[in-house]
Amino acid sequence: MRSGGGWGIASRGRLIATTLLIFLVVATSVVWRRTRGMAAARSLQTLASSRAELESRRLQLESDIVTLASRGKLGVRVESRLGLHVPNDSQVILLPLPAAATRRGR
Amino acid sequence: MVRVNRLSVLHVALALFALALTARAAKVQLLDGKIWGRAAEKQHLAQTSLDAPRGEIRDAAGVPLVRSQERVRIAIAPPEVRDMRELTRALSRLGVGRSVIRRVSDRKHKWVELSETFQPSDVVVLARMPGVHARSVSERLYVASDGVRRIVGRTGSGGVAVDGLELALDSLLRGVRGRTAAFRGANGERYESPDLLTEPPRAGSTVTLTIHLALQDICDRALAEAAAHLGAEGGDIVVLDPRDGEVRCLASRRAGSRVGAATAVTEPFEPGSTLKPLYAGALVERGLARVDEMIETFDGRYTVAGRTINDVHKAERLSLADVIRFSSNVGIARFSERLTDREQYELLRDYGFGTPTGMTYPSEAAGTLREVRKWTAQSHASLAIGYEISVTPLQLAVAYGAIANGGRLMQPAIVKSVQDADGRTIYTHSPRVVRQVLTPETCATLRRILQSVVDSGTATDAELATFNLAGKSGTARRTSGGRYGQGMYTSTFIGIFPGDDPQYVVLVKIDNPAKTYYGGKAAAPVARNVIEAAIASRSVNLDGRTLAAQKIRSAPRFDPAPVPLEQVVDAGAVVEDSAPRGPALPPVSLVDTMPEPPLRGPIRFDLGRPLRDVPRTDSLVSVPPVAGLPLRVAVRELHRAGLKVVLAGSGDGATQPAAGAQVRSGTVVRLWRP
Repeated sequence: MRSGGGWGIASRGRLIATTLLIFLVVATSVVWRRTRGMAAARSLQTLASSRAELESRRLQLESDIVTLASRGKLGVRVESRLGLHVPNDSQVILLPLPAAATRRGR
Repeated sequence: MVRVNRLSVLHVALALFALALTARAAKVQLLDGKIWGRAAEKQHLAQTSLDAPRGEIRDAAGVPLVRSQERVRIAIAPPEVRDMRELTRALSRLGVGRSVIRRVSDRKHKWVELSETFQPSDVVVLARMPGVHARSVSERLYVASDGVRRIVGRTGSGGVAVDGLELALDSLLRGVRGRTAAFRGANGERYESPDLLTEPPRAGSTVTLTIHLALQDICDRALAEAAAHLGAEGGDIVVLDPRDGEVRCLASRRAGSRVGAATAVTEPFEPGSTLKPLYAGALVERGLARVDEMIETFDGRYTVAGRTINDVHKAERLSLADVIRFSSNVGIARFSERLTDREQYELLRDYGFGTPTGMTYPSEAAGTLREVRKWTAQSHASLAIGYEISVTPLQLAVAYGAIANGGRLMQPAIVKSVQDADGRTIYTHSPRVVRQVLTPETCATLRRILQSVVDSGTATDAELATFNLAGKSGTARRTSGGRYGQGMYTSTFIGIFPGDDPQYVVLVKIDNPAKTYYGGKAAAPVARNVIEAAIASRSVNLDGRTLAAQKIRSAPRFDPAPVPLEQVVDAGAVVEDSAPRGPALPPVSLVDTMPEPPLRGPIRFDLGRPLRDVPRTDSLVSVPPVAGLPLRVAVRELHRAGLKVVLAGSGDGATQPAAGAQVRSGTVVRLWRP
């Protein structure tokens, strides 16, 4: 009787300890997973934000290039700084493309 | 007797408690699981609507003219700011104005919103400061060209299209908003995840225009220089490809307004002498006159229906060709008498005057062409010299396009193609012929006459050294305050380039030039400059191969001596009546005869006070599309467009009249609640 009761208390204690251990492991893994998830979400958000910033910057720079390379901006500068001018039609030589080249161009 | 000890009672109580917990857990998980699941989801996930990127607008060569860009709008709550000195320094570095910084520094203000938006990368540090509230907004990024901005229009707050092509093509550009969910953190922060994207946004379509940015720049600059040189109030330039009706450039300029609408489409004017070739074409086509047929011009003074018409270049008689070449009012008024009122009306109507061309652009003006029953005794002659009618520069360019392409009146187009978000082409412009207004033979004859206008007529200032250019100049009086103003003129020149196998119709209109005001002197050189710059440019869609074949000579430009009018009048003249030839005319520098306005002009025909049955084009507005917008925003947008709003029950935000409809400003619009 006594040994059976002793086994009962000891085994019950082991069972409780095991249960607690399993709970602890599961709880820790849940918290760890959640923490990793949040960290990943933060990184993702930071990356998305950086991507949006860079994309915005790219668009701005491309637009600046188009604007600065346009005749409206460039034409004025080359005329004032380099003394160039728009040629009149007699100063333009139009080179007729050979038929083969035209076909390739198409 | 059962022995009950305290431990057993405790065990039973614990067991019952565990059972109750299990039962409750089972109820929560199994029976009410879905309800609690939804509640938990609501607590942990936030539903967010995603803006659809608005579509791009590109020029004919694929250069992006308008794109959507993410920017950051900053608002500051001064009471929440911890380090005010650091904040003001950061704002100053961003170029925020001193007055705004002063407001931000004053902690009495609860909320200060900065009017400008910023590049996200420029405000990374600022956005992290306490008291700074940053919000991403999508903004349209326009290429820095006033001309392009006039054409494409604007979007307002929240990306709502306001005018221009942004409004006309809004349903294509807008895209479809998406939905996503974001995790909510403990402190209210949100974390988006690609796995939670429930409905991805669909980007708007990409619209490619027929406009060439390079040519637009050429025309904008030419117009600006002409306005400065001539002291003009403004003007318009239209470049049209007569072969397919594609508009290559729409440049407009008005004093005092940096950017506005494309007035070449929205503002009609009295065309003056530029209508004369259309009459000549109709007379030849109907067999009512020959180009070499002479007519009495009574030494440049002719009275009809109590109105005296004068010519600048006075001649006793002129051929029909020379009537056009020297822009004789008397000659064209006399020739036009061979047409009945009905024929004259139909002739003008056939060219599309009095009705919008149908080009994709909001608020396009129809111009004014009154019905015959509303004409007076003087109307017949007035119309022949380009009064009592108003046309937009685009309408006039389209009419000359018909002369250039062999008589086909083309519907003008500004949209070349549309690609959806997946890159599939969903629309490609194909040329549409509205009607055949002249035969190709008559057109070829007219182009020869118009070439004579440029090489030895009233528009020699437009002449090119190595290409034939056909064209016609016009000068008309302008109204101001309901009357024809003293010294107020519209100078116009329309060129067809090259004269033989045309690729461009170039219309130049100068408003109120202060110096020289004759169309052949003020507007024609501008057209020549535009064409020369276009020939020299590689990116304006001129067919160099065809052009090279049409080069007529390679001589440097020289300024020819004025051609004696007598010599010109004599050339090719066929004497058909017995009228004696007039005295020899002295050599003169040729200018176009400016038609005098009708005597009762300001009363009968007044662009500022149009006839009752003609809607005021300046007060026409387009109903903005508001479907899908919150009620408050929808009402605000309708009010902003100058419309009155009546709510008409629940619906999907539809309006009556429908979005895009042209209505008078102040019209009551029924809005079905979104």
